[in-house]
Amino acid sequence: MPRLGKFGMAIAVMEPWETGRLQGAKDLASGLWTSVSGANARAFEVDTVANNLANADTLGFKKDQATFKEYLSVAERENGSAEVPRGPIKDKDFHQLEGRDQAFVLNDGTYTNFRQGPLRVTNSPLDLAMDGPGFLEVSTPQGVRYTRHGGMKVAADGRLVTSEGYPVLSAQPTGLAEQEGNRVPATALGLSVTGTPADPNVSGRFINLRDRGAHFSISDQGELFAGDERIAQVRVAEFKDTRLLRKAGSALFENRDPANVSAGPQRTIVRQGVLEGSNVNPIEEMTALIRANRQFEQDMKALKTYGDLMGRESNDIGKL
Amino acid sequence: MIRALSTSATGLEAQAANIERISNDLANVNTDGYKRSRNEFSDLMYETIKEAGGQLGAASQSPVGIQQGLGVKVGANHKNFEQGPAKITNHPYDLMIEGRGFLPVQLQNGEVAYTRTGAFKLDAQGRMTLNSGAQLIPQLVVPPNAMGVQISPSGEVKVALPGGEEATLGQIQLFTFQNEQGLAARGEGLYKPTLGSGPALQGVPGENGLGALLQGALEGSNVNVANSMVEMIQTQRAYEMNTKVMGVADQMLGATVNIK
Repeated sequence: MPRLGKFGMAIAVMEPWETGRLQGAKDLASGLWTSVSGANARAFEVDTVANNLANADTLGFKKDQATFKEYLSVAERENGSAEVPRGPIKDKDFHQLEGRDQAFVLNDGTYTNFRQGPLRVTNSPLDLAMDGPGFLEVSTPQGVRYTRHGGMKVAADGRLVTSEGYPVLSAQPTGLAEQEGNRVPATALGLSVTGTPADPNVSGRFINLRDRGAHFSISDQGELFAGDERIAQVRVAEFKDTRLLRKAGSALFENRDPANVSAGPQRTIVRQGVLEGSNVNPIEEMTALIRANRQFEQDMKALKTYGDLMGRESNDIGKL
Repeated sequence: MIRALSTSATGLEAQAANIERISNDLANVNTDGYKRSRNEFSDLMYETIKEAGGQLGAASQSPVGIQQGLGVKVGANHKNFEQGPAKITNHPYDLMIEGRGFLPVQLQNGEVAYTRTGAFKLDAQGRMTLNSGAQLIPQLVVPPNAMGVQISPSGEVKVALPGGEEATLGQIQLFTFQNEQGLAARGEGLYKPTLGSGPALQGVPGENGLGALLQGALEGSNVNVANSMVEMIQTQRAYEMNTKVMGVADQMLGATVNIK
């Protein structure tokens, strides 16, 4: 079976969509890879749905959507010559396929849906929800990250931190770095809040709530007051294009392009005593799950059919 | 697809942890001084298959990348120290803190712990003691002939003695922490300071933002039953959805296995 041998080689060295080109237009089995690419895409979609549903109750989580695109071999398209039909025109006259319809599904990207999540009232004074497109700016050992999970705490050394222990940054320098002398260094306490990037521009923007009591009020612009005293304004960053944000886990996002931070007036309203839930909609996810499952089954059916055809090709044609 | 199986497993684990937390809250709906907690989930790391912003041509960049999330974890368990409702008991040794602060007690092994459950009783020596045997700091010995005990909102303890005399037994202090959520719950309404909570800061009740003491009352549990029930429904359904995903992943694996 030289054909099958060639086929086997193709599996080893080629990307699936390339095998079609190699096999030529008349190869019966080349359609096999179309269904494989379909099945792969559906499996990826199920992975995405699984992650969305696992995070259906994660504060500040933004759901992912997989997008797919059709991959067509351009060369194969161009080879087809235009045939002008004579006589009555039928459907097939418009599309001279003959195996040149090698279309594969490719995973094009995952798109994070930044739709607002539901707001839940918690009445805890240090819970913040962003009503609008903004993000809180936090300092992590890997650099500045952005989050919409506004469940904040006061660390043992008085710094305002996220649940994960990363310091929340203020919009203007608070001069906390200069007060280093009268603070217990976080390292001495063995805390996980030691993620202090050396950059004074970042460490100078930590917010200190040491000895300020427990009564904080936060204005809708993010200004933090202890009693009548304005301590800091929590930095709320907005982006020109949220699609450029990269997920970093723990509800954190990374912005790789400094020019992406919008400098315009703040459109986000900060709500105190409220948290933003996950924006995963279970109905959408379950629908996507069912659809992906059934499409996967269809791809598998097609794959099985191709398998049967190949079996007949190799065993029955020789008998003629 | 194998990823979907383990991803939904992390979801099941997180939702199960949430149910355990809710059941503990609901079990303590009538526990004096109990503080409800909240599980905060956070998404796990992401596998980046393709970076966003990659070059597609001379002047075009791919607007989106491919990132596959790997599930969820319990990021933090957060105790909510919101004030619970007052329950008037008229028992002279019941102390409620109206506002911030913790009462210091000495455990039987000599360690110091902090509590908001001020249901004290007198032991055989006349010392103010909790049900667990932990004694109030400072040690106050109520004389056997005391006619009545008066604890002022600022923590001053006085007893009335026969013959119209009055004696001051001592002063109760309250303690706060920079980060109350960093306290380790020890059970029986007791908390121990940790490195995360910071050291205990002493103060006089009613001063400097500390709560005042209220004699003859106890602080009830701050569990909100309606909220807990809603959370339970949500958690149960979220759990079910994760099992559904698992079922689908399993079916897909089965379909793959059965091609041949």
